[in-house]
Amino acid sequence: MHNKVITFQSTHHVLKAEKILIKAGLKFDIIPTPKNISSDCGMSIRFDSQVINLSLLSELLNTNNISFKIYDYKI
Amino acid sequence: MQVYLDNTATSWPKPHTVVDAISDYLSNYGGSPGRSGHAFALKAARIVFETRELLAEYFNADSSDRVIFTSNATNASNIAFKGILKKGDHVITSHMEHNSTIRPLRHLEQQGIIELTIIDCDQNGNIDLDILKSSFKPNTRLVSTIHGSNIIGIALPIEKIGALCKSKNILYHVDAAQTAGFLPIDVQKDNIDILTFTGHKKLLGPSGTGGIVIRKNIDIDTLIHGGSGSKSESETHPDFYPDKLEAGTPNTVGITGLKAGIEFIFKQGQQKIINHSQQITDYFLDSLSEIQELNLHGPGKGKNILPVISVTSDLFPPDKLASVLDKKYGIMTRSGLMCSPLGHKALGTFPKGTLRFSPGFFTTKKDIDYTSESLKRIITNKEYENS
Repeated sequence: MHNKVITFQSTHHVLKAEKILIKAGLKFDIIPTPKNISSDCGMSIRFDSQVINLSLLSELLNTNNISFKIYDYKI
Repeated sequence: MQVYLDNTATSWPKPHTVVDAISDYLSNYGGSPGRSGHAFALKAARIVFETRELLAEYFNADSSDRVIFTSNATNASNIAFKGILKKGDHVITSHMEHNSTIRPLRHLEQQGIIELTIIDCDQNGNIDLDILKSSFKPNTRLVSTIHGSNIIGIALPIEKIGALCKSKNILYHVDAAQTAGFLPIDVQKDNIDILTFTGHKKLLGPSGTGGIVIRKNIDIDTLIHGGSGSKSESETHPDFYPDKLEAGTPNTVGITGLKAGIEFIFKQGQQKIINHSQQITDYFLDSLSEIQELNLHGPGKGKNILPVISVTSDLFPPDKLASVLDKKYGIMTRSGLMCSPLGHKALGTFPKGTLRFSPGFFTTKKDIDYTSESLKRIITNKEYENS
């Protein structure tokens, strides 16, 4: 599974993560959180782990003290 | 002619971008932020997020999720005091405080929760740091001071008070209702643990906006529990910021306007706003000093930090003069105690209070000339006697 979904505590943190990841030049989508994922808020970030390095992404979010969870994206 | 000189109560006019932003939100994308994932909700959420980011930048907050929106500064201070103070805590505040600080603290004192010390100020509204030092007790938990006075144009040395509190490991709360958007404030450098502000004064936003900036190591219990758009499966309120202190739908209309107000300030530049204020205030003080019947209170020409001027007269009470200025000349001012009885006691102007003129960024020299000429006419012709 290359498609991944990141969930966050709140909409604020989704948008903060978006700002940080765009600044880092990463490509991703903001999507409504898939129903099969137990989520903290209504929006999530979807990305392709073949395009974005997972450890780089995690490091960026951790550095900014943003809590998140990563799931496989299943349609 | 109409001249608005009550910007200390609320700033008017607002930049047209503030009005446009509010109209745009209500007309074109009025969704509820953080409550859905659709286009309007997302756009509204972005506006709220970006406003938080701008405020975090302005105050140098540790992170933008530590900027909490409230409906005004009074609400913010109540949340802060009641969410942080515990039974047995000793709190120190000053005589320059607004009732938005004095009343919640007096309430907590009357409830037997806190012990309260209100330290004296001199006739110019200044706090003696040695008196503050000598007021510390082993159970002192919080020092709370106003930043800029709403009676006279002074600002307290928050960086010195903050450093002192830090050295004693005591929390420091600053009420920045009059200064947020006007003076630079750096919560990290100034050692401010909790800062409360309003959006409708110097930040040029609409009423119904305000907030709290909380340092990263401070936790405030919430008074209000409810919907947050997050953790919806849980029957208990989330414990992470900003959601923890923001139950219920936010004032998106107001926050949209507040964002435009902050952007206006950033675009103009803080120094330009301060320079304009100093020029207008000094120009006004020069005119007022020509009127012998008026007593000027406050630091005086070249020393006023904020655009706030208070006057009294032995000939008439302040409310009479304010009434003639308004009804006959269209000049809007504020008279009385301005929710600051202790401040007026310190300045020697209690219980009648003062007549307060507070120009804003859009006040012109023409406005000041008209006001000074009107004042001279009122006094020369004793027009206050018939009001």
